[in-house]
Amino acid sequence: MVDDDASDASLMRKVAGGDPAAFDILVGRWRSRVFRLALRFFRRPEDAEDVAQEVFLKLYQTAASYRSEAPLEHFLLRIATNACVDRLRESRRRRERVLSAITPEAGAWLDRALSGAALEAQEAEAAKGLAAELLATLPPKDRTVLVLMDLEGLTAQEVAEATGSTRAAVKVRAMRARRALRRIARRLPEKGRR
Amino acid sequence: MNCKECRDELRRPGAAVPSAEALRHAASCPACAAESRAALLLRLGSARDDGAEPRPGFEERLRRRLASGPAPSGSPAWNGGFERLVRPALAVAATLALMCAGLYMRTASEPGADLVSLVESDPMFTSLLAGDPGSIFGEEQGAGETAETP
Repeated sequence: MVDDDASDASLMRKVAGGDPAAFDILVGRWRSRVFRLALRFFRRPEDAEDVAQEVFLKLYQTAASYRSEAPLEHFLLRIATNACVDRLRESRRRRERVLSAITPEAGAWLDRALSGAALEAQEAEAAKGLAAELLATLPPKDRTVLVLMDLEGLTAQEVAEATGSTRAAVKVRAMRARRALRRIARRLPEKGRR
Repeated sequence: MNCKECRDELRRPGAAVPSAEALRHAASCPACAAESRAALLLRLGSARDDGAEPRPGFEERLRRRLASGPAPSGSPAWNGGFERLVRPALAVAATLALMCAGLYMRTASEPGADLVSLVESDPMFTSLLAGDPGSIFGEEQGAGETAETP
């Protein structure tokens, strides 16, 4: 019998021993966190869910390598980051292609959204879709670093641990990604007025 | 609000949109305006419902995938070892291999570039073997003799 209140570390030890009940408790505990992180990168809930499942499969398979002195969240975040980066690599878009496919209408909506103006629901949805496509043109690791730091509120050190990188490398990636975003955002008005 | 406060506000996690004050500052500062547009692009493209949950049956689907996949193993998920050690080592090894290949190609393309041919053909070695160190220092054959003459 597995205690619902058992610590993550003790549950992970049981998972490593092949206990499915312990694994179920961990999935229930962390499911939303992992799914919501994946949703930052994949707009379709099915895609985000698929990534979340891959994360838990990996967690199950590698339970024996978990060191209990580190919080499970860090371990999970690391697996989730790797899974997201791998999936983003498969679906990375070419920037020129995305920019050239922007319709004047959608470009104008996005331009207004980026100026802080309020949009109608349908326009806002189109602007979000377009923004997501533009983000998909960033190198996956750069995008991940930016999302983890600027949206998830992780420090550079925490992101470094999650991505298997160094704090300095994370800062450089964040700076590069922000510069790329500024460049993309600057090019939109011309597209919008086309 | 100054530029630093504005940028901190733009990068503050959790806020769906920057505050009106930050947007007002960005409207009057071109650098912060560019930063604001980039921050909004990131927020817009990564927007999600904060209360989003996986579809019902998530655990059931996961269990099915688990049943068809491999059992737990001791292989580490932390692939930082690869990033931190193996990858740089591979890069160094590849660079060394390229340098060696380059050197080999260079020396192989020069006929008689091996050490034996060098000793046989280089004037410096020839003069050394002949017991004439003067030619190493670029002296004329007769110059030394002249200097020794009172």
